[in-house]
Amino acid sequence: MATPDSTIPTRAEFHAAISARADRWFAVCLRITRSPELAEDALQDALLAAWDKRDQFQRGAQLDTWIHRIAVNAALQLVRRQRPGLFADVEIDVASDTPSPEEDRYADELGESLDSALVRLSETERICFVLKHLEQWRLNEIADELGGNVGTVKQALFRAVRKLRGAMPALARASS
Amino acid sequence: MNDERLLLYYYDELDAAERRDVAAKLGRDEVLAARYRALVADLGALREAPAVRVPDGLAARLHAAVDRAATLEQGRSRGKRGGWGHGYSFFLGAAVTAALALAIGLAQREDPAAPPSPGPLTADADSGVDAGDTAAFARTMQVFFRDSRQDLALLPDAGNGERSAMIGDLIEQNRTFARLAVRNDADDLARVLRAFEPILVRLAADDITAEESEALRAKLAFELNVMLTKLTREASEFAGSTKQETST
Repeated sequence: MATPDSTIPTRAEFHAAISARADRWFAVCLRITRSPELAEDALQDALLAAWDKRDQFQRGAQLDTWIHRIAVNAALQLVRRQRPGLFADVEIDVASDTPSPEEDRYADELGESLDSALVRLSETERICFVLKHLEQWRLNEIADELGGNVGTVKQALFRAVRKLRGAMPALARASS
Repeated sequence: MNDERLLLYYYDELDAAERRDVAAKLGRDEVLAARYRALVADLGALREAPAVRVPDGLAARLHAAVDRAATLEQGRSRGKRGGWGHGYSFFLGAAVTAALALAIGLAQREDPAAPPSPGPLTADADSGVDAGDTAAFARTMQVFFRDSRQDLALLPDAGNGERSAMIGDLIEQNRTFARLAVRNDADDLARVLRAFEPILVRLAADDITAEESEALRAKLAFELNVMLTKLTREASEFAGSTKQETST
């Protein structure tokens, strides 16, 4: 970064992106990590990484979208650190991948909402659903990122959608 | 046709032939088409996720993080231009490398079966102490806290050109160790280290008075002492319990 370069995003552009998109970045990090503290940690890490690597940003792309993707990866990294090997098995052990009592309590606090339904999914189901349905990643991208295979991701996604659709009457009642 | 196949169709994750097959069936089977419409409606509703509650002051903290990174970068380039920084950076880097080597060495002495250390170590959270090696990690952090305390005591007075770049190096090391703490599941410790950063940035500011500088230095020294005491106590408790287990 020795010389100013018009293709490199400026500090003002970073500030503008934060003002416009911080809430969305936080939301996706929260949905991945299930913890507001970890979500903010991921977002701080992502912003600093984006700032340090801003010379790699391709002009023509959207800065906020680029940071969003870095934030998703940072949140996934934090989850992997918390639960190493989570995505390693081809056959997911559903029994060992269920929410903890703390996560259940967090879900109760959220009440009947999509986020409470998401918290009640297993970690793998939730992350596959968030990346596919809300972030619109391809199945093979998710498998690559999680270190699993496409079949595993599909099965997790199917279970997530089945469970969420099962919870929809309650969600509809809560929102009406 | 099951819902899974319809779901993959919705997500455009079928190959061209499968996709044509599903489309043809949907065109001629009204019951299937109704099932698909219900699925699409549900998935659409699931996409309309309500806004999550964002912590107070989040955006301000993110703005500040970018400002700190930019200030730090400016400090580094000033240091490079002045040409002073190499000796100090070398000293600091060597100290941290020594700390990590010491930590790994001690850990290996405790475990004679451990393989030899692979090459030189650097203060890089991605290649430092392995996650899960609690004793080595605790010793590494102790050395880092002691070195930081000493470096703060040696900091030149405000107005000295070397000061901001020296603090820049301290901030960089602080970040490295915060990442190392996260890797070792010490999230609380990582947060404490991150909380040091705004204080260090303020210490590097050109407009800081001697009184404020001294107060901030004292505050940091106090926090470092607290962390050192805590780590030392935890390390001795850990060693005590290990000894007890060995003797029983």
